[in-house]
Amino acid sequence: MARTHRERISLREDMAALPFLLPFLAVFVVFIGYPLFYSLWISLHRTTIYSDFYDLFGTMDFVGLRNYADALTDPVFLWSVLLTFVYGALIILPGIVLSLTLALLLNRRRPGFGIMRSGFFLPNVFDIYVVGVIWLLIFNPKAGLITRVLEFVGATRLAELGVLNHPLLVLPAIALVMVLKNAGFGMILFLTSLNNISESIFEAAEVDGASWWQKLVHVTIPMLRPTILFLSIMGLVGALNAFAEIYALTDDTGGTSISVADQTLQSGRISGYHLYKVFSESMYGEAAAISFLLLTIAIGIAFLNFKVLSPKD
Amino acid sequence: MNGAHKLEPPSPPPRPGSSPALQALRDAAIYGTLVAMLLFVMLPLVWMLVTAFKVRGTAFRFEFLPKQTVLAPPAEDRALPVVSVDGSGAWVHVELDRPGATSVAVVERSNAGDPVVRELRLALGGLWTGTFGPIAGETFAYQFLVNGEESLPDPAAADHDAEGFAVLALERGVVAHAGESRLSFHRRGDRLTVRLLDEPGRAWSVRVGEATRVPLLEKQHGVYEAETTDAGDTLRLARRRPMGEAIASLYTAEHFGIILRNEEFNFGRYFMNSLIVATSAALLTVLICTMAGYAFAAKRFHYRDQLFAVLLASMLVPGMIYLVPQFSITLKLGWLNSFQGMVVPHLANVFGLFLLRQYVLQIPKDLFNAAEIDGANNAQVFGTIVVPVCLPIMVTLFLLVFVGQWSNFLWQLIVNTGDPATMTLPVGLQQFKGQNATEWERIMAGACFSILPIAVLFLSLQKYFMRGLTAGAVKE
Repeated sequence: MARTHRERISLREDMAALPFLLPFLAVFVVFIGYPLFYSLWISLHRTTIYSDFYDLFGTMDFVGLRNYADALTDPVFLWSVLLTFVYGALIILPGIVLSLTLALLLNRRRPGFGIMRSGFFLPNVFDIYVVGVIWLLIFNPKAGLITRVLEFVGATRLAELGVLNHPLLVLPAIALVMVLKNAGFGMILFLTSLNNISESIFEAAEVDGASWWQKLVHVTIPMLRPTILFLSIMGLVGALNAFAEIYALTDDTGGTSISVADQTLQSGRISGYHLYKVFSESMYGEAAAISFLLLTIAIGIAFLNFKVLSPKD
Repeated sequence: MNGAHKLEPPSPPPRPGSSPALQALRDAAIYGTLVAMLLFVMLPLVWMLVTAFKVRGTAFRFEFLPKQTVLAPPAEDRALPVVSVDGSGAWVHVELDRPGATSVAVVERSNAGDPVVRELRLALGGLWTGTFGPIAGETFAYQFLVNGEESLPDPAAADHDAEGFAVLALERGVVAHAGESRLSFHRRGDRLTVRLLDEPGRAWSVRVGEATRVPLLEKQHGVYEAETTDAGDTLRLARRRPMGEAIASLYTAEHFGIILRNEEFNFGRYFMNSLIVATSAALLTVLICTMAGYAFAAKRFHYRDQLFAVLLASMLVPGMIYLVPQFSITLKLGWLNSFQGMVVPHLANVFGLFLLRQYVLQIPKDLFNAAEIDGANNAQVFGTIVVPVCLPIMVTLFLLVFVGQWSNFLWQLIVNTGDPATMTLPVGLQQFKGQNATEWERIMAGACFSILPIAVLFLSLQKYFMRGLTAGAVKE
């Protein structure tokens, strides 16, 4: 089906473009395109105890949709999805509030503000795992900085246990780490959007006698809606892909075990980390099935993104 | 805090917040808030740096400013024997506080031969002293003999042999003391004598109770003494030390050298590996994305737009999906524990392609047409027009990929099955931490190798980073 506008594309033109396309397309096909379908195939199979260690993927047994059925009835997986959304909520709202606050404060020309913008953005480029290890030191029970602060305010039992060992606090603590790390990213996006808001809108609000709070709620935030939505979607995708921060801050344990409805579940085992754990136990078929279930969630988010964002543009 | 508003209306209505004083106050509040928030955001960076320079084992000691005056813990009121070697390796000085005794002697067996009895003389009221030598051999073993019959092993000495003789090494050039006996107190009525044996040339003083400070004078080489009134107060020794020594007691740069030279966990190696992986991934990504971007923007070929749509759609798939199949393919290619295994799977960066295509689209068509009329082939057009024009966005993409691959922990963890030759910084740090969980100072020194180069890179080239951000969102 050649395109018919202007003139037909000749084979010569195809051949001229091919050398430039080939390297990209070759890598794309081998490492992104094909794996998607290959993964689907793997998800219908399982490694067994008879599988050849050196050819694990060649000697898997076909199990049909059993991996999917098992995952959907596995409380550990369902729990991990639930935790992923909890974690998403914990990074999205505080992240947007912090980024927006920074952007509103820094949205003026003052000495030192340029350096501060760079400073707030800087942690974004750091390795998540390494930053996680540094926070592990800061959160260290009995001796870390946070523990000293907790002792100071009288929360001695929490200080003794350690925030990261507390089943209800481990995800908020990890979310705090990530919000602080990523705040500068949202800040830059908000600053860019703020610059694009016409000054006359604020002047009109000023003439109407609006206070700064009224201007913020009725003018600024509605104008920033696309950025806020974009950051929300990024937050959800970030929660779905979250791994290194969980690995680092729970010291590859997935958090303290808790008992929920007769099930022993781990307080920090969100889906990305759960997938890694299943994978690292060489349960490749199961892991592939889980990754496809996560993909449906991601597509749902993308669809939501499309629905909410596109009418505005 | 009036948000994005910058301009005041022409005739400002008399509102609070418009007077210069209030304006200054508001500015101060904004600066204060920002600096406090910045400190919080920067906390991991600051904490990493401080801990990396702390003396081994002091990561959790919350002491940051060097103190020149060091205070010893409250000393027990005791009169332990003092036995010291003068540093020539041959002369021994002995003191024992025994006010009621009629005679005190030292039984020594220094030459591993027969015991020799040496009498001590009564010096101050009740303090028996003696200095003797030269003594041959490498050790000096001794016991006290009180009133000619009562054997008394030195309770303060660190080492004793089987027969209860205290053993002190005789080493040339070292002023040695037997165990805890470096400090002793002698009370006579209301007079108190404090004696201390230490390195020569130090500034010691003794604090009696809360208020009184008495300097200890160096009576002999390495022997300090002070006399004060005894009112039963707690006694604490204090020393004023040079600033350099005070800093060295808290901070050191040795951890960096140690983890760089470490055989098992070589951070120099890890750093080079990360550099190789991130640089080659970034260079190759920029190259193939620029080439493909040029083709998609300036060339015509079958299914071009459909293909581009498919590529864009693939950006919606979260990276986690590729974990299993990419690992399987890498395994089959025999690329575990190899640089290509870490680099090649991530080269097809669709976001990069999108960036470059947008950039090439901005190049005027006339420029390409003129080149073609001049007889330039595609490779020449690419080399002389596309690359020079796209250079800024290529730098941006290079940096984004470099940072992304420098920090691609999950993939590098999976592809590395324990071969230090290709291990990258985050994986190396993870391994090091697994083996040395309590060596926080060294773990933080290792973290510096990952954090600091990226910080320098970002701060020196941030306009290129920001261009990538405003061009769209960063995709891993």
